[in-house]
Amino acid sequence: MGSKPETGVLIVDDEEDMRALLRSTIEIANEGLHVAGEAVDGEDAMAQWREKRPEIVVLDQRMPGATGLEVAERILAEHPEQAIILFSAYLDPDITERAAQLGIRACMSKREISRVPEALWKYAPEA
Amino acid sequence: MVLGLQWAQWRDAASATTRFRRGSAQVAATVGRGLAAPTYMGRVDGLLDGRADVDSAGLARAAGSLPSNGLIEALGAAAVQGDRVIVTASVPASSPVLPVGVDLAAMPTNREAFDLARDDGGPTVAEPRSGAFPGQQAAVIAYPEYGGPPPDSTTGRRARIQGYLVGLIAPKAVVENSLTPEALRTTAVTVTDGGFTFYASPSASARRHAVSQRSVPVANRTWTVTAWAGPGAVPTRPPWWGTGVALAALLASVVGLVALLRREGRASRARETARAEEMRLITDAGPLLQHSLDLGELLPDFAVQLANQFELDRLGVATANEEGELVDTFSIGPAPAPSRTVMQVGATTPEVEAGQDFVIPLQRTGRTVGSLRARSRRILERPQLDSIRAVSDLLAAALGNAQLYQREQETVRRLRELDRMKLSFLSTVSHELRTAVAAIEGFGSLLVEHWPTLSDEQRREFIDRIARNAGSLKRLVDDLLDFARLERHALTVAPRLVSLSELAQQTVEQLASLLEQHHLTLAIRPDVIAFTDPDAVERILGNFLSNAAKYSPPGTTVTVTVEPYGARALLAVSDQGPGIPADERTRVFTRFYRSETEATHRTRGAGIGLAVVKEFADRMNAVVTVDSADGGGARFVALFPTEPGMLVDSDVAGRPIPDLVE
Repeated sequence: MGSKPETGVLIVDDEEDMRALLRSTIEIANEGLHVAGEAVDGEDAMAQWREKRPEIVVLDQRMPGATGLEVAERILAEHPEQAIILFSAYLDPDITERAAQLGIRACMSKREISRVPEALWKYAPEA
Repeated sequence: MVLGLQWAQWRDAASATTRFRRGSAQVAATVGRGLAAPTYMGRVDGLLDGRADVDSAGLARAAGSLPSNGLIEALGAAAVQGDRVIVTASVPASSPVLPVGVDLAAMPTNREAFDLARDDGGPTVAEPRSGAFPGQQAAVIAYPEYGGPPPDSTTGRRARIQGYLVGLIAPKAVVENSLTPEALRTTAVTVTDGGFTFYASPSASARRHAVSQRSVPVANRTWTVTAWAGPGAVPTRPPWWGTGVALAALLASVVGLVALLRREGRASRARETARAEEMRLITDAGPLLQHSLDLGELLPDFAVQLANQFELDRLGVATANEEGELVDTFSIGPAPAPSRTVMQVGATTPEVEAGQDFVIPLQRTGRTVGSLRARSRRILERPQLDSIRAVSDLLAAALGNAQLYQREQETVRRLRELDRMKLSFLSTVSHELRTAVAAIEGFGSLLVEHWPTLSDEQRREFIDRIARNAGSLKRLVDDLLDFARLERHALTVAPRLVSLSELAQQTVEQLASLLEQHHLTLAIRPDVIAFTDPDAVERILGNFLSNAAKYSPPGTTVTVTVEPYGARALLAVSDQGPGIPADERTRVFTRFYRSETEATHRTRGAGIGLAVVKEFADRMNAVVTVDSADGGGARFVALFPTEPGMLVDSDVAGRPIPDLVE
């Protein structure tokens, strides 16, 4: 796996603890992943995504202002190939179904944090 | 022989008088026709097709295609702009009496006419006022323009009004054109509206003799045209005509008596007709009032009917709110100035003069549910007042029903709102529980799985984060337990005499971690005693402090104050955050309430803490309120009793605290 180039991840979550948890998990995994940026809401996410062009976006669903699904819709409208993982404390069938329709690669519960690096590798675009 | 001569000469004089009388009746009729038919305005209005946005050229075209009746001095189109009615076009172009750009509604009598025209959907003439128009006595007539046919309901008409076609009516030209110069010299003519004289011919100062009078409806108002013999209209009589004059006077009084009796008969028939119409209004209004529960739909149509029937040019209905204060609910025409004297009408009121403001209380089972305030253009006598009072009784019953209905609707709305807030509370709590658990699990498993490779700094940070989230978890669980207790009304307190100063000091020390990012200032006076439950004080202060921590920016100061406050003890926490808007200050103590501001969306919290504070305070006869701190932040205040059995004054509870603090 080490032959893959560095994969940049944009973390979008309004909770500081959750951003720190994802960041630490990604950094500790130390497998060619790096945190390209962290955003606290939808507007911030769009700005950083346009600027940093990360390989993967990890999006929280429940945030003040725009929801994760709404942010995903805007990103995918501009760049349909963008890999996005929805990372939420609470996933109901409506959310997962809508995520699939939009073209989000995967939905993960926040309680599956240890599986995040694996998922990032799985859904990162091939170089 | 002498008598014969006298008779012949008297007959000559009498026939001259008769000729004159016929002539002046003719004058009055001609002038009356001219005034009674503002058809010219109506036809211009028809040509404009209900549009108010006509320009001067368009207005001139519409007006120019019709022969003027001489009554309209100037014509204008005016647009409604908020409270103003601005002339946008006029004919003749830039007429000095209707200049483009002027606000016609600035004059109260015009305002009244505009409002009436708008509500009524038809032409309305303003009450004349001396000196209103330079150089002439005139009044404004207004045709409301809705951009199409007038809507059916008053509410609709109020919503759709765009502007008015405005005419300036001055009767001088009509009068003078309908008389020959000779007749004008010998005939006195006046045109009046109540006490206001629109026109008086040059000979009108002469003594009244052989008077002919005619009432003329001009849209909503009634003008009176009076003509009488001026100097030279009838032959002067030599003094020796005494017998003839006496005879004439006798005959005249007989004729007068007959005329008077006839008029009396006509008047009583007219009264009966009017009375029948009033009764019809009551019978029509009854079912309408009994079956309608929506005041907004009911009042406008009812009021317009009532106003038309009794020639009311002002009519207002006020209804009692929950505190029993009367609040204006609906009105036609402008509200009467508060300085005017208002006459209270009851069962024994004999009559109300024209133009007098009067009020009828609307009562139901001895309780005042509202009041009806009005002013009529005519005298209202006992029968009319009885009718208005009968209608008022029906209205009172309807208002009572409508208020009951509204209260029920309000209860349903409140329950729905509570339900919505509970759902939102549970969803917030469950999201925050999940977030806290996910953080504890996540950092925990990083520690377990990567312990050997983590730096000391990382280990320390992860453990801190776990501890902090465990703290949040504890508060959320406390919130949930409080929620359950509040639902069961099971919060209990055991008040005793304690040192509020020491208790506050200890609690602040225990909770200092909440305020790590703020400057904490203590203004705690020693030995302030309160009769209260120490656990409850901790919960109250804890909630105040965590609110201050949540809603004020890091780096700002949070102040805790304890001091005597009259016979009570005061505990306050002020911050330098955005503060709480005045209209939200009572609601923040409501269960599940969270302010809908940006700041609350960025912070955690379930909206239950202050409801718990309120519940605790209520059980200890303490008062909690929030107002503004110096510099605009929020200041939460609790006032505790200082001895057993002390009740907190109700006026302390109801009044804003800053009034009481020195």
